[in-house]
Amino acid sequence: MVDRLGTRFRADLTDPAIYSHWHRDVLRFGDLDPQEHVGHVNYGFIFQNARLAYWSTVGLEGADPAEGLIVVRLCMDYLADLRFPGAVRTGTRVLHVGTTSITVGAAMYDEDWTCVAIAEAVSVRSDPTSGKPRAWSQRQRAALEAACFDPELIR
Amino acid sequence: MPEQLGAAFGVDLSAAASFADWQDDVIRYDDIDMLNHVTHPAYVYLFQNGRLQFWQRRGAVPDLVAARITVDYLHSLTYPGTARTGTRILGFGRSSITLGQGMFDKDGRCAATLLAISVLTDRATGKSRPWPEELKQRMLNPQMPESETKGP
Repeated sequence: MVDRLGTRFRADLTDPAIYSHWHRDVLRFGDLDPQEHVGHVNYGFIFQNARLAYWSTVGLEGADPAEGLIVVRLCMDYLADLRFPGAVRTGTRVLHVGTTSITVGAAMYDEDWTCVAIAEAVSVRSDPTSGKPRAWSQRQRAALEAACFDPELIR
Repeated sequence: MPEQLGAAFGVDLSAAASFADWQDDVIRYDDIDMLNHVTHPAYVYLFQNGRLQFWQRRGAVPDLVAARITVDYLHSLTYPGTARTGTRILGFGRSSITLGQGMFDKDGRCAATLLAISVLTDRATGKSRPWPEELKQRMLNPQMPESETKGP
């Protein structure tokens, strides 16, 4: 079996206690697949929506093209199905800050707080003109490192 | 940089030559973001379509549940445009299957690669079940028309 996501950052991504940022999304009829579950692709859109809301809390305008944030790797583990109608809450937090990249972890819960999926997403800060990666500014780096997951804080 | 997604299977998923099974898709206006790029979760829709067509061509869509999806984004795709997705089996577990995919733009440039681990389930109980040998062989040995085996 592959390692559970978050393990290499010593984070249990299924634990709601590690998140301080929450985003609520309402499921849509159009999210369903022929088996009447929310299709696995749509989990990715919900994680994206939560991540975009999260960026502004750590000093990034993730939806602004000038910020140049580009997802380079997304990995999702599917743990339970989601049924319509309903709503989900998604917790998001920084796991790691690189020179030009950022890794965030996230978890999605149904209305009974069952964890339905977890995700790791790696984004790179790129120059909007050249498309080349560019380093975080000092101010951004400080804000992101302050938000970074630290297992000691959870104990 | 983490290693490319097919490396553990000795397959370069960013090379069109790694695939013999192709699906063409047309990019839609609602796939794009503010940068006029296909937004990253929409790639997963295109990849899903590639996998579904892959099963259809084998005459059986198995009851699979996605367990893990990993996507590496290598290049942007823009609207209007098309995408070609190659799909191949990388391995079987007792009840799981691992598929590798590569998505290419009209110039043959690889836009993304994907690794999908899915589990064969019993639709009535929702529990995993082992692969029947006959079904496994059918997945491995498709009868495909020549037109669907050409790369970009």
